[in-house]
Amino acid sequence: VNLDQKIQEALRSSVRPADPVAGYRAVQARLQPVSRGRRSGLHVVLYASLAVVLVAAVTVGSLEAVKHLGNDQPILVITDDTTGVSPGSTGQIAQSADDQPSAAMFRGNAARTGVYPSGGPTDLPELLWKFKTGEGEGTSPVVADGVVYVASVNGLYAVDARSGEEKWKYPWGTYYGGHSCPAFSEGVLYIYSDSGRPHPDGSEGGYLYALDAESGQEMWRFEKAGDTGFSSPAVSDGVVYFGTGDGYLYALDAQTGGLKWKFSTSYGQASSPAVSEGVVYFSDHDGYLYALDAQTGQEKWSIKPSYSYASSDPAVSNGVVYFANNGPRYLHQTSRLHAFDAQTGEEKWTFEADGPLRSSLAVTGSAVYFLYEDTDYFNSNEYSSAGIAVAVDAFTGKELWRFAAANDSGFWGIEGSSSPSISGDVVYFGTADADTHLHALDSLTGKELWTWVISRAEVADTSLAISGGVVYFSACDGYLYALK
Amino acid sequence: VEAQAPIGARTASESSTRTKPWTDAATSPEVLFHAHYSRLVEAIAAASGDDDGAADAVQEAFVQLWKHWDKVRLYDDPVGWVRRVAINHAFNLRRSLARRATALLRLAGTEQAIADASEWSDPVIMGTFRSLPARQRVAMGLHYVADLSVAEVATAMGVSEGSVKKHLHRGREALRSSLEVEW
Repeated sequence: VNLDQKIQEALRSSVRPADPVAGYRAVQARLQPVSRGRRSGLHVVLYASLAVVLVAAVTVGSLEAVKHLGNDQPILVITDDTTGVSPGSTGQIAQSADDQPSAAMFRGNAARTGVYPSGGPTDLPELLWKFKTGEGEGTSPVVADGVVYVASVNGLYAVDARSGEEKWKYPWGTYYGGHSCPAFSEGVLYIYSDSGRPHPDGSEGGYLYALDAESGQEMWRFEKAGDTGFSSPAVSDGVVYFGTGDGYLYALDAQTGGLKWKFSTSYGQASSPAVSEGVVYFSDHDGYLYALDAQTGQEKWSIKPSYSYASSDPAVSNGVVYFANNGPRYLHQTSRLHAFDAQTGEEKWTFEADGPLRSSLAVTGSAVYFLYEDTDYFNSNEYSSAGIAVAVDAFTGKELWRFAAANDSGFWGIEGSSSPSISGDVVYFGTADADTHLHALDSLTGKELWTWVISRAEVADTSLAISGGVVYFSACDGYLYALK
Repeated sequence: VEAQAPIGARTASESSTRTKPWTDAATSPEVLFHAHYSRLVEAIAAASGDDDGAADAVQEAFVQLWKHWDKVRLYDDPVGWVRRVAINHAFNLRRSLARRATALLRLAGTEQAIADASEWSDPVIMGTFRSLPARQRVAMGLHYVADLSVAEVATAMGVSEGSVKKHLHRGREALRSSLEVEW
């Protein structure tokens, strides 16, 4: 039985079969001219059903609450294929300014801070170019040495950062695979792609490819039975780290593709790993955060935060690991941002946000930035919700400022939003309702510097890459945009 | 250009032949109702966790179809239109009810969290499914329960096919672990 059949069966058995006869009668009844009496009757029915919903909700609510306390509910790793980008930046902020622009990856660097040192536009930018990335939307772009790398269902593209012209394409014939954000290090690109084709033994799964960044030629590939899940590779000190959908974290020799070690979690869905000072951090489907020795794969510590539904990828800065999780999906879902000591795993503080997490974290020396969705923000309009960008003090966990970024009057909420990226004193992120808004805020005050609107093209849930005064991002219309 | 590998057990051609707009377009609301009502109700019910609300939303969409048949019959894809109206109605109504319920509970001083769930066949899998964003649930409901192709789901949701593939991929990956533990 394959996964799709299992999903189909689970979903189908979760619903009561529809009753077309009753449905037809109900439709015909509603088509009758509505008299006064009828209308008020309808209202009675509405209020009655609201009462039923309330009673049922309270009942189910308390039962569910017990269940959540009692069991280890599985988690789902939030979708951060906010698969990021980065300019030719070094890794950690503090670390070596010497070995300059030799690495670029998801969230900018191996520590996943979302910080791009080279500076983005501070005034309202103009469209420099856009590039069609095939049929689907692109991943988060990565910028290194004047070239933007981005993947889509059609392949991995290398695009000239200045002209927007294609330099090369490494095609894969996928229809429905997953692709990580590429990672660039020392002239080599690493990308995890679920090719959509079964392995020779019939198992599903992806490959970790190493390609020559100049020519697009494949250097080696590592075959893995597990699918890609949501993990983008990190490269640090000659080792490539990546997680798989079946819950392994792999460490490969970046030169040869040889396996150095692998680490198994019980629940699957390894997040994108963050690497800092010889330690690899990642989370799994069950909400655990692990710290492993980067050389040996030995566990240093692991922790399961109080909230464990859906988690961000961890980010590390100045000896602290930041990690956020959602609470269970109740009517009013909240999320928590945690700060742990990177060496010991000891919790330093927790910040609670009044809505579910909608992005990866961006971390500077002084603050942590992320987006969440506040469905109660605009109380005057029942259907709307707001995307809130919030800045939290990195040392104390106290809120510094917040910015209401999107007012969604449709029914999808702000689920389409990009993770914040930071360059200089500016926080950049995208949110989508009917249109896409690219926001630039002053990182110290939360004041809006500018907003750029693309009509009718949702921003992809990816990270923006910033390099040389240009912002690069993928949108759902299948284009990679460059704004300067 | 791309070989369209089917996602589920069905093939792309199977699901598209069943709902070709041009075969339905010239017929009547009755025909469309009988061909599409049940699958659409079940798909939306799977996505929302509310069987009655789903039936109500789809009925409302067909009421609109009947009322505006003169116009809608000329559309390229009347069934896609019905699906979009039903989804819109189901999720707007749901939000609105949820919000009112929350407000009332607060008024009553009850800080009790409310589970947004009905009776699930499998609480673990469906717990994971319920924690997915609405877009992913709707895409999965339409695709897996109503058997719609990616293109049909895109039309119904008013988003691009790329977005639908993304939502399906994410939802599928999120459920994978639960399903593999369970089975």
